[in-house]
Amino acid sequence: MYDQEELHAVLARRVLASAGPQAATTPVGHPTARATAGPSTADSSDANRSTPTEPTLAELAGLAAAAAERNGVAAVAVLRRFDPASFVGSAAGLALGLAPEVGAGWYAAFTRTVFLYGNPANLAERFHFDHVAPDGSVAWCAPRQLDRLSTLRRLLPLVNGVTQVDVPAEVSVRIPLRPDSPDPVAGGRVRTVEVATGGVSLAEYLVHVNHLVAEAVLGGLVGYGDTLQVRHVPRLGRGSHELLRVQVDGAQPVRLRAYAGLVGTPVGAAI
Amino acid sequence: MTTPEPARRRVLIAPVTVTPTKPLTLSHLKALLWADATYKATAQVADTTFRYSHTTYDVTMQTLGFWAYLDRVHGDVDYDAYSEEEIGQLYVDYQADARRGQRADWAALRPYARAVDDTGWVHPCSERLLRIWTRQYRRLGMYDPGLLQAQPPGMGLEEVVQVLAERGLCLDTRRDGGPVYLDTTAYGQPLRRIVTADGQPNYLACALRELVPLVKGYDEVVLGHDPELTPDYIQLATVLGALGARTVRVAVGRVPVDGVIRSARHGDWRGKTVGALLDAHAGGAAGVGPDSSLALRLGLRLYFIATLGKGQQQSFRPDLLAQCVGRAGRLLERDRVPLDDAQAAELFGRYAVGGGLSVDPYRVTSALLSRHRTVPVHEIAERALS
Repeated sequence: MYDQEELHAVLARRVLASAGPQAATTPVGHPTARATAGPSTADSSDANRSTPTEPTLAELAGLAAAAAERNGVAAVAVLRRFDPASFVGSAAGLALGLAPEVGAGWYAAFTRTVFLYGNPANLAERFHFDHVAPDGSVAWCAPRQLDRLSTLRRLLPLVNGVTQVDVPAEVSVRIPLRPDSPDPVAGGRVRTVEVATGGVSLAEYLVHVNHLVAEAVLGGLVGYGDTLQVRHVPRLGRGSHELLRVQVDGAQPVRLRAYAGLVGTPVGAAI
Repeated sequence: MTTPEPARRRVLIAPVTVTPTKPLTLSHLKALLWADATYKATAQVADTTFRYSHTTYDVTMQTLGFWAYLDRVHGDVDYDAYSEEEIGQLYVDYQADARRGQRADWAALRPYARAVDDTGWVHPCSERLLRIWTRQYRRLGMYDPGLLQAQPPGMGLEEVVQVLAERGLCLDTRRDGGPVYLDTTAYGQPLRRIVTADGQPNYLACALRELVPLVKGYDEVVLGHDPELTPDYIQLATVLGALGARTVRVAVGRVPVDGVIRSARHGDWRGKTVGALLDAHAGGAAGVGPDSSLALRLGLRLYFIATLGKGQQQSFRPDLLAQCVGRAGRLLERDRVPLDDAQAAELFGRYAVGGGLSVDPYRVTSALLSRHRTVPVHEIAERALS
C-alpha cells in the first residue's frame, strides 16, 4: 500500500503539471506529464517525495480548482447503463479522437468530465456526440467550454448516489484500431488497469477510471489497438504503476487514496 | 336499407385525484366540479369514462406517510368518531412531524404499499374521509366515480417501467443504484424521476400505471391537473401521445382565499371546506321554489366554473356565489324545452375543446349566463350541471 507521503507527491506533481508555471508550455506526452505516475518503488528519488516545501493538500486543491477554472473545459458522458468494459473502451475512444490542442486543454483542466444519465439514442437528433460506445450504453461529447453544456445539463441529471459500484473482478476490452489503419488485424499492447472499488460509488468509479484512461491516452501510454485488462480490487496495493490516480479519500477526507493505476514500468525507469 | 350509425367515439376523463388525507377545500371543489361537468357534458357527445381511482395514488408518499404516522403516533383509534376537520388536523400534525425530519423511509412504508397494491386496502382514517366525501358528492350532485371501491391500476410498476423502457420512454438505472426516469428527452423535455433508487414511486409513476394500459381504448384522453403540475403533465401527455393517444390537458387553477392560495398541509382550510360551504347553504337556495337544490347545484357550477374560470386570480367571494345561486334559480324558472339525445349531442358538441371531442364546461356554463342567447337551461343543467 502506498503511504500518504507518496500519494501526496504524486498528486502534487499532477496538479503542478497543470497549475504550475511550466503548465502552459508542457505538451501532453512530455515526460513531465507522465510524472503523474506514482513513486512506486524503493529507488524512487527523494525528489518524488513530499517535502515540507511542497504545497499542502488544501493548497493543492486550491491550485487545481484555479487551473480547472482557467481552462474551463469539460467533456460530457451520457450514461444509459453502466457496463465497465464499454465504459473503459469508449473513454479511451473519446480521448484518442481528440485533436492535440483539445487534448492539451482538457489535460490542463484535469480531464474534467460531467457524467449524466440519459439515453443517447433519444438525444441524437438534438445533440452531436463525438464518440458513442458500440453498444450505445454511453456517449461522449468532446471537451468544450462549460457554458456550452448548459442545454444538456438542463435535460439530464448527474450520475450520483452512494450505492457501492458493482463490477466483476476483471473485464477486458480491446480498443479498436485507428480508423485509417492499413492493417485491420494489427496487434497492440496489452495494458493492465487496476481500479479500487471498496467503498467506491458508481459516480466515483466513473470519474476515477475515466481520468486514468484519458490521461493514459493523452500521455501516449495507451493507443489504438491496445487491449486494456481492468482488474477490480477493493484497494490498490503498492505496485508498478506507470500512472496513478490519486484523490482525496471519499471516506476520510483528510487522507489521500490511490483509486486507479496503469500497471507498467514506473516512472524513473527507462521507458 | 338503413345506413348503420357510426360507432360513438370514446373519451377518457382522468383528472388528478385528491388524496384522502384532509377535508375537501374550495380549490378541490372547483377542480372536482370542473371534471364532473366535463364528464357529463362530454357523455352527451361520446362514450365517456370517468377514471378517478384513489387506489392508484394511495401508494404515494403523501398518503402512505400519513397512514404510517397515524399508526405510529396514535395507534388504534375509532376514526368513525372523527370529523373531517379533526382528521385534517391529524394531517397538519403529520406534516409538521415530517418537517422535523420524522418522515418514514420507504422500507417502513412497503407493507402499506403492498396492501394497497394487492387488495386496494385503505387506512380506516382515509376510509372515514371517503365516506364523508361520498355524502358530499351526493349533495353536490357530482358523479361518484367509486370513492369507496378498490380500483387498482391496470399495470404493476415493473410492467409499466418495462413497457416504457422498450419504447425508449423510460430510463431505468436501478441496476446501477440509480432511480427510474421518465425519458422524453427526444422531445426536448428533461429526464423526470418517477421511482427512487430504493423503489418508491411518485404520483407520476402511479398515473402511468393507470393510463398506459387504458389509453389505447379511447379516441381522446382529458388530463385534468393543478397548474403547478403542468410540467409533469406535459411530459405525461407526451408519453401518452407517443403511445398513440390524443390528449387534452386542462389545468384548473386553485381558489385563493383573501388573496392567498393556501395549502391543505398547513390547515388553512378551516371554515373554508366543502362541508362548511354545504352547511352554509343547507336547504338549497332560499326563495326559489321546489327546484332549490337544483338551483344550488347549478349556482355552484356557475360560480366555480363560469365566474372563476380556469385561472386562479379571483379570491373566493361568498357574495358572488350567492348571486350565482340566485341567478341559477331565476334561470330555472324558464320554460322547459324538450331535448332528445341527438339534439343534446348537437348542442353540447358546439362547446367541444379545440375541434376535439371533449366538451369545455366553461363554455357550457358561460352559455347559460349569456344575455344574448336563449339556451335550454333545465336540459343542460340536468344533463351536465347538477
